Amino acid sequence: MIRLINIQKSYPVGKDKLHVLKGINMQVQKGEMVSIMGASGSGKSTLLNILGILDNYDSGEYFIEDTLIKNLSEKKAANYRNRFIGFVFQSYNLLSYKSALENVALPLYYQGVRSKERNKKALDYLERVGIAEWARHLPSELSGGQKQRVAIARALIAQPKMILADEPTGNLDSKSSQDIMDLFKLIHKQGVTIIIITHEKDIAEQTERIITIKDGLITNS
Amino acid sequence: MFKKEVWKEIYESIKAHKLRTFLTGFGVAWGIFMLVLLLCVGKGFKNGINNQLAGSASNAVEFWGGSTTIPYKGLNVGRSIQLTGEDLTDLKADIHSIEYISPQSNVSNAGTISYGNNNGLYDLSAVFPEFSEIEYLHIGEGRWLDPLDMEQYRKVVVISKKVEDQLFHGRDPIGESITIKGNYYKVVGLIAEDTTRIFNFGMGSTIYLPYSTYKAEFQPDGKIEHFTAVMKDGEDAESAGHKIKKWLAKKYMFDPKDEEALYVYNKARNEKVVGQLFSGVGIFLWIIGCSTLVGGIVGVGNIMLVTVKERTKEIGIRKALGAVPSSIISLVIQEAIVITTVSGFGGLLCASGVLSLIGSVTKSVTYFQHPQVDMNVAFSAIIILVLAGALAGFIPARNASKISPIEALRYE
Repeated sequence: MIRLINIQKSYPVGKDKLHVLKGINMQVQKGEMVSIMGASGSGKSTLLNILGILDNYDSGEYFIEDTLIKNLSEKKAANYRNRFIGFVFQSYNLLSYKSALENVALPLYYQGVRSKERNKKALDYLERVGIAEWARHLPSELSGGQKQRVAIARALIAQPKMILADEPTGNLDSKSSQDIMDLFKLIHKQGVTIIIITHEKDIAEQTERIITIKDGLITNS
Repeated sequence: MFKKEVWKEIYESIKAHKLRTFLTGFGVAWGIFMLVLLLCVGKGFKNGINNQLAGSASNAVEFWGGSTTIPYKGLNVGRSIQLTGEDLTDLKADIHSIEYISPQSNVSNAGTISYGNNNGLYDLSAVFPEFSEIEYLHIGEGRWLDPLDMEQYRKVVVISKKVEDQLFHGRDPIGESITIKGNYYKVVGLIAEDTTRIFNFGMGSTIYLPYSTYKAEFQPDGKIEHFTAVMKDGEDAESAGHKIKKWLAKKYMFDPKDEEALYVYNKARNEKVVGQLFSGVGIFLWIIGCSTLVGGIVGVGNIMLVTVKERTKEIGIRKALGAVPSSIISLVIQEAIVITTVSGFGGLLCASGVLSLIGSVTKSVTYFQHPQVDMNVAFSAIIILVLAGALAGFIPARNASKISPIEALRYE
C-alpha cells in the first residue's frame, strides 16, 4: 500500500516560489484501482512525478509499503522505479526501433535478467494483454490501442507494487479507450494496484475511487 | 564491460543511423589512415637512408688534399697539398685510433679499357685491400684484392657489374685479362650489383686495382687525391680526424686551422645529423597525423552529442523503466568506442593495403624501403583509437546521464 503524508513541493519561479503541492495526504490500498483527477495546473502532474519517483518533494513522507521514498540517489531511485512502479504513458513511450517483445522485456533487462528468460516472460505478458501475435512488430506497425497494450505489458512485467497510468487513454478513440479500461479492470481483478491520472470523468468513474486534486490539495478521496 | 545485450543495443543504435555513423566513422578512419600512412612513409624513407648509410663504415672520416689559404711559417698561400699512400701507412702506425685506412684515388689518364673487341671508359680506382672494410662491397664472384696483390705489385683488378656487362657480355670475367694502357690486368673479382644504394657516385662502373700497382704503373710519385680512415669502435671520429689533420699539417707544413689545405668530411657526424633530422621529421609526422585524427575524434564526439540529444526521450523512458545513470553513460561511451575502433581498424587496414602497394611499386627505389605498418605503429594506433572513443563519448555521456526523466518524457 501507498501512503503520502503531508507532501509539499514548490518550484522556484524567478525570485518567487510556486507552491504546487500544499500538503497532500492520501493512501492507496493494496489491490485498489483509483483515479486522480484534476485540471491542468492543479498539481496533478507534480503528484504523478512524485508518485513515480521521478521527482523529489520538499517535505512530508512518501511510503511504498514500508519503504520511505525520500532523497534517493539517482541509482536507488532507478532501482525503486524498476521494482515498484510500472508506468503507462499517454504517448505510450515505446522505443521505436525495438519490437513489441523487446519493449516489454526492457525492465527485466535493467534487472539483469538473461535474454532468453526475458523474452519468454515478455511473450507471456503480451499474451495476457492479448497481442502476442504482434510480438515481432515495431511500434510504428501497431495501432494506438495496441501500442498501449504493449506499454501495459511492459508496466506489468516487473510485477511492480503499482501501475501508474498517466492519461492512458488520452490519445485513443473511445472504442480503444474502453478496451484499455477493460484491460485495466481485468488486471485489477488479478490483484494489481492501479493509479490512473486523468481528466476524463467517464474514465475516472470506472475506477473504485476518485481522488480529486485542486490547487495543490486533495479535495475529496 | 561488453555484454551481449550491450552489443545488441549498440548495433541497433548504429543501425538506426547507418549513413550518419558511416560518415562519422569515415572521419576517424581517415585520421588513422593518414597517421599510419605518414608514420610509415616516414619510416620508409628512414629505412632507405639507413640502408644507404649501412653500405659503408660509419665511424669514418674522409680527407682530400687541397691548397693552402693561410700563410704558415713564412710559406706562401696557394701551395697544393699532395698526399701519398705512404702517408697513410705512416698515419696508421702513428695514430692508434685508426682501424682501417685506404686511399681511393682515380687514375686520371687510364684511357680506354678493353677486353677483346669491347671497350669503354671506366673509373680506375687505386685502393688498399682494407678498402673493403670502409666500403662494404659485395663480391659476387672471385675474390677481393688481398695484401699479396699489394706486396707483389700484381696486375689484378676487381671489376663492377656494369664493367662486366659492357666488356664481357655475359662471359665469366674471372681469370680473364683486360687491357689498360696496353698492359694486361687479370680480373680476380666481380662486385655484385647493389641495388639498395644510391650514393655510389659511379661505383657501378669502377675498376679497383691495388695501390702498389697503381704507383708502379701510373703514378710513380704515389700521389693520391682522397683517402678514408675508419676509427676503432669507441674512438671519437672528430678528435681522431683532428689528430690526422695535425699529423699531415706537420708533415706538409700548413696551418692545421686551414680548412682548404685539407678538406675533412666527418661521416659519423653527418649520420648523427641525419638521425636527428629523421627523429625530428618523425615527431612532425606524428603531430600532423594526430591533428588529422583529432578532427575525426571531434566528429565522433559531435555526432554522439547529436545522438544523445535525439535520444533524449528514449533515455528518459529507459530511466523511467529503471536504467541507472551508469548504464546510460557506459552505453554512450561504448558506442563511441565501437564507432572509433571499428572505423579506425578500417583506416588501419586501408593504410596497410596502400602501404604494401606503395612498397611493391617502390621496391627499386633505394631511398625508400619497407614502408610496412610495424607493430609499434599499429599498437599505438589501437590505443589512440580506444582513448579517442572514450574521449569522444565522455561529454555526450555526461550530458545523457544528466537528462531528467520528467523532462525527457515531456520532450517531443
